[in-house]
Amino acid sequence: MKLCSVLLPFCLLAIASPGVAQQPKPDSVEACYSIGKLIMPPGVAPEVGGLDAMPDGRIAACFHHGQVGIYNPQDKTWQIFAEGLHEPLGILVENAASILVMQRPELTRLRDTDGDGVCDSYETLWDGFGLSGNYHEFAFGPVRAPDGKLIVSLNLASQGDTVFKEVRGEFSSIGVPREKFYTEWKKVGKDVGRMYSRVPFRGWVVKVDPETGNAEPWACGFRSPDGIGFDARGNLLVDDNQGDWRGSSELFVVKKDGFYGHPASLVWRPDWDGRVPLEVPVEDLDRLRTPAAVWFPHGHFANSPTQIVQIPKSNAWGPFAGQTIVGEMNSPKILRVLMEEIDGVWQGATVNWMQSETLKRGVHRLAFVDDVLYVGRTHLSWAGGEGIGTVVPTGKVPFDILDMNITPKGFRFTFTAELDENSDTAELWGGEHYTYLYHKDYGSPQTDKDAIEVEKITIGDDRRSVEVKLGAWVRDHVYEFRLDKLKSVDGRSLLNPRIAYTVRRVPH
Amino acid sequence: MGLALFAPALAWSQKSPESRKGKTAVAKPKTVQIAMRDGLRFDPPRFECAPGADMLINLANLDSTDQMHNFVLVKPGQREAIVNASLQLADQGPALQFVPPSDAILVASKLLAAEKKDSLRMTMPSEPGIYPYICTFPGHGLIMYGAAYVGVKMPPLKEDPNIPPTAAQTFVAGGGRRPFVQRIFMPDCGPAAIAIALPGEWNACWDAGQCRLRYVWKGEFIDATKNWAGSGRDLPVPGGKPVWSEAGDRFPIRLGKADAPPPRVKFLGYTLRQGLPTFRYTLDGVLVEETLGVNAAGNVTRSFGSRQASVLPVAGVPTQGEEGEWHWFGNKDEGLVLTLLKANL
Repeated sequence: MKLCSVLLPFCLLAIASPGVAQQPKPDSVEACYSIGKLIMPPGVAPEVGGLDAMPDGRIAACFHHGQVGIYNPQDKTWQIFAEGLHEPLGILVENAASILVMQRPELTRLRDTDGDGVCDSYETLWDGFGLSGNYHEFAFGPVRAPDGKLIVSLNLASQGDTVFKEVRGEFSSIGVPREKFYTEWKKVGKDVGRMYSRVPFRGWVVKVDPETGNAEPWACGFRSPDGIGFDARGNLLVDDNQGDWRGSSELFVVKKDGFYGHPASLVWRPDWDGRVPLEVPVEDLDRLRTPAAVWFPHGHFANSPTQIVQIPKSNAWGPFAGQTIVGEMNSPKILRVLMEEIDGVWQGATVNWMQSETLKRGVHRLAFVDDVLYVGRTHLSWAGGEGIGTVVPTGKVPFDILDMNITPKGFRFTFTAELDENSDTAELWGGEHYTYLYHKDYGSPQTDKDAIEVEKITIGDDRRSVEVKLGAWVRDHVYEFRLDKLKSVDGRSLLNPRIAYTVRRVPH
Repeated sequence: MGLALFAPALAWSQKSPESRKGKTAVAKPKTVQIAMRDGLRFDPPRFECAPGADMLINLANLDSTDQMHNFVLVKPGQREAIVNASLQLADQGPALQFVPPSDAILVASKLLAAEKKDSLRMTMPSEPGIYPYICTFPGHGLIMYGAAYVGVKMPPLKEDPNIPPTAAQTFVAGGGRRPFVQRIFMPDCGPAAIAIALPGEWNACWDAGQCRLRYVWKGEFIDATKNWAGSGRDLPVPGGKPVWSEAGDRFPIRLGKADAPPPRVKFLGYTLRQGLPTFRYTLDGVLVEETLGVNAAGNVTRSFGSRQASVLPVAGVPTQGEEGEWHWFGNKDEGLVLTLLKANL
């Protein structure tokens, strides 16, 4: 197994630690990850819209009131690089003198042309998208694709308000004429949809050429796509927030020309037939869409997922190196997503990576520098937090679920430590399966819920992998296992015992 | 506005009219109006009352972002405990309207959807103290809280540790520095607006969507408190009325011919020199640079330049302001410099 070489030093550590026989306890998050914080720059509201590593190990961050600051971990000082940006919610460092920022009205290249360490040139790289003035039209990104191009995403507008008298870009009057946005908002506000797209590419993911600024609308159907990232296989991943047409928060593997469920943005498809998206029968939309690869069950997993990044392939991160992680606004945690492709369809599981009050809520942006994970928090007047935290692995590997794969008859779990010899009792492997409804309402209850029917548990020879055979499958259900009672051979319980796998396809 | 909203709906929840009539002089309750507003805020974030006071608390959810809120008054020092208890409710939350069962809770309102109201009539505790009030909707209580000062004098707002830190803050963009450039939504402008604090007392609003100056005002720069504290819905407030504003949507300059048709514009960004912006844009594909400044006489200037064409003011751009007629007067040195002057001076 390819992970063995990475795991080896950690196995030794784990075995060396004395086991506790009764009352299994999980490792504490703090024993495995040292969580600290940065002193923030004075005069800057410490809400972090973006974080990225500089080539020399410094960290660039953009903030709610429009500053870009650069933190030097050597002397723990901040330097303000740029100011006056409009709600920047993403940052990508090109080099020490050139930083890209996605601010509300445009994708901007910030350059220091005279070498004094401060930006003096604010260059519009791409502003070819619409702005209605609605407060909810956030803009996220950029992240760099494997081909060097940039990916950004554009939030829909919210029914919480109308649009400005003056807008930028073409206005779509499909369903509700523009005039009524001003004269009869109280009345028509109810008809525009909870989240709406009245100017171009709202609800889209867009690919931008960093040299020319030429943009290619890439995929649509998004609502509030705060998190964009690539996994180790080069898949473009975008997450989205629970709400209308989002039964729970979701993560998508995004392909060119795909449609990912929220219908408002369909009006900007070049071949759209002019129908009012909200009047298209749900069954038609359902056929048109690519469902999420991973549901984040609302409540216990994520209510508002954020940035998606890969854990570096460095020994420091032990067995988790190369896995994909996602931030979350409403609870103090970072999640992992474990994905696989079955019959050409991506699907997978989500499980906490770490949840601890020390980490704090509002985990919005994530950036690795060497073996330090920087965690930027925000709230933007919703639930969340402030400031920048640091996470450094201590070298102690928790007893955790390392991976979860679907098999023709059930699931295969892989763990970071050997299991207790009595782990093959079915009661230890319980959980529930359920689905979420695809509809225009805000969120969805867990629907068609039932207990997971476990037939047989087979522990692998390595004692770290387990085949769980199920009685029956229901596709398009989340299989949420609660492995609280499982313990390792050295008497620990799982640090993160709940895991939720979204089943789209079952392998033959 | 707040009063008008509440006046028709006073709910005498505990005392009937008869019982009031029966006693000789039933004092009217002390009334406080508390709104739930955008940005997870109680407005006001605190109030004072006497121990044992007969109190009517009128609540209205005026949050435009469609959030549910409640009002839960708790015993001194119990804010964090109740917020945490509400977060633990998980699946049971909705059935309990997100109010955790606890002896530390003195009173709880209904869970209010947007535009809904509730009234609570209660006898305030006889024990003097600072009684926190919280919204226990999941996640909100972390920042959405306030303080009832019962028989305790309130400290100055900025020094009050019992209210959210944001409740006492005001933000002038740039912190009062000049010159300063801030991109932010602005009133009477397209959504890609740029506010500029010029030297002295001048300020300008430039529209990056249309590549033109929209208006100029004197005084404080912009108070962005509400825009930044909330979800971005409330517009910043310029520190003065426009002295000059561009009427209509006519573009102010032309290339080559003063009566040429309006050009097609494309915004390219700006550079900063000593903090002053030079906007860069193309007109029908021709690069133009426009620098805002204040000259030695204290007047606002706009300097236009292009290496590829001569820049001219468009014929007959109407300009007007509230303090008499303000006009841009041109002089041709290198390119075009327009200076804002009062016409009747």
